[in-house]
Amino acid sequence: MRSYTTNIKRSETWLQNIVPQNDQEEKLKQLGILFCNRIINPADLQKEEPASPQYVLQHPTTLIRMNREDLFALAQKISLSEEDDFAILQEEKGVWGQTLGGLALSYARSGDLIMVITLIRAAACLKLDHPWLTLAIQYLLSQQHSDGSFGLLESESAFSGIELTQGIKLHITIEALWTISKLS
Amino acid sequence: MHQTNMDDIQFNLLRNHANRSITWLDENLERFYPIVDPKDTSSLQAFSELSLLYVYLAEWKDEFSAFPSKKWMDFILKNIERPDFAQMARKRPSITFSFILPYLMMRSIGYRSEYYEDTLKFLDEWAFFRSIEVVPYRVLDLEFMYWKSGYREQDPNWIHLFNQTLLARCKDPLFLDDEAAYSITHTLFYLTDFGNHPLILSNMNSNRMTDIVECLLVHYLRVQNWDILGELLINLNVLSQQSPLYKEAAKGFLQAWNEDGSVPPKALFRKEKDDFWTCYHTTLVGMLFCGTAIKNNKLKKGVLS
Repeated sequence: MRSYTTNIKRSETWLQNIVPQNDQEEKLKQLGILFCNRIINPADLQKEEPASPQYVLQHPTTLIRMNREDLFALAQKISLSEEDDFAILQEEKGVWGQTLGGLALSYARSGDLIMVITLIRAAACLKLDHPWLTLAIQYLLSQQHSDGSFGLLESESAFSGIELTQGIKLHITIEALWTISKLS
Repeated sequence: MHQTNMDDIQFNLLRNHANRSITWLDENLERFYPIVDPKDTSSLQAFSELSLLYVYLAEWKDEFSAFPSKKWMDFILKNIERPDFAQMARKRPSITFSFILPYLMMRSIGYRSEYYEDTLKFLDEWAFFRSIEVVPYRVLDLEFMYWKSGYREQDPNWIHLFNQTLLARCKDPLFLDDEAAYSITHTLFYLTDFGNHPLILSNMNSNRMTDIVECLLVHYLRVQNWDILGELLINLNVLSQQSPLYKEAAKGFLQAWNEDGSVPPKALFRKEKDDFWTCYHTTLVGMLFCGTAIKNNKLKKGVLS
């Protein structure tokens, strides 16, 4: 298993140093620190007995032609469900890894970090492994700043004129840490 | 469903799409007329691409009932033999390849012209191959066309040519843009002669190439770029790879076909009254996809040797 310790310690330092501007940012900060602790100390996690899956997902390749919103919603649903709520057919596991990994790389090409993060997380929740997912994870880690936060958004900010606030950075960093916590 | 029936359905679907495309191309045949204008070689490119398609269609003609082989051959030869066209390869050496390529294609199926043969000798004397600056897959393109024409007695060093290309050098698919994707698809076209000769590279290289092509396939299916997707599918046909990703992409590609047989290059393309120049290339790609898919399936079934 890949170690994310250096990345996570950097993120934890960034989170410790930021001063929340409102209640929501304070909650996100605490959530981020919780993710960091869980990633660094996975033994602290309480392992639950796997439940029977409620949904069996099929036909992974049909995801490729889904529009962004629907794909994002499905990936979030998988991530937010109880562990093992979703299952996939054993014989389709390789194609699932290939499809979600390929899609993550496709969105990486477009610089859509949120989709990359969400797809990797869904794949992790489905316990998938594929070289394309590994490559997408490398891409995700390359999007971290030296201060520990995630998201290279300066060009969007300059183009749109929207100020890159601490809240935006916090939101993306928490999403990234949540994904890495699922990988650990 | 019985396997044979399934194969028949797939063959019929491919033949049906291909025949519709042939009809559309045939109705637009005169649009491929190559205008001799050194400042704008786009019509020459379309004409060259038509001549390339013709050579492969001539091999697969039994599969496609709509293919008017003689009419297309007459059209291509009539233009190749036009004095204003034939003279340009010597008159304007800097753009000579555009004018020589259709002849090389037709030469590969037995056509000969004393005038063009002399032109090829002049090009050798001028060391044409050593006097141009092109990216590695275009070098492969040039070598392939000469080899295909039968003008060179010896095979090129395919492995050396391949090793210079992006496909040989790239480590993973993350950095590949549209230009790179075209470089990869064309490299594989030439290395395999569109499925006519087996890949001469190792299994490791072949697997790595399949991996890169399939990863690109996911991207171009997602963004619905039918032009590049079609070329990637041709690659997978000649690599004999029909994974679930291939099947999904092929389904998407065939669904993109317009009713009249033309194939749009991208999704959300608004059909216009005159869409020849927008659709012609993807339609040629579609034809090559159908042809290589049928041939590959027949090879697998043992119908062809």
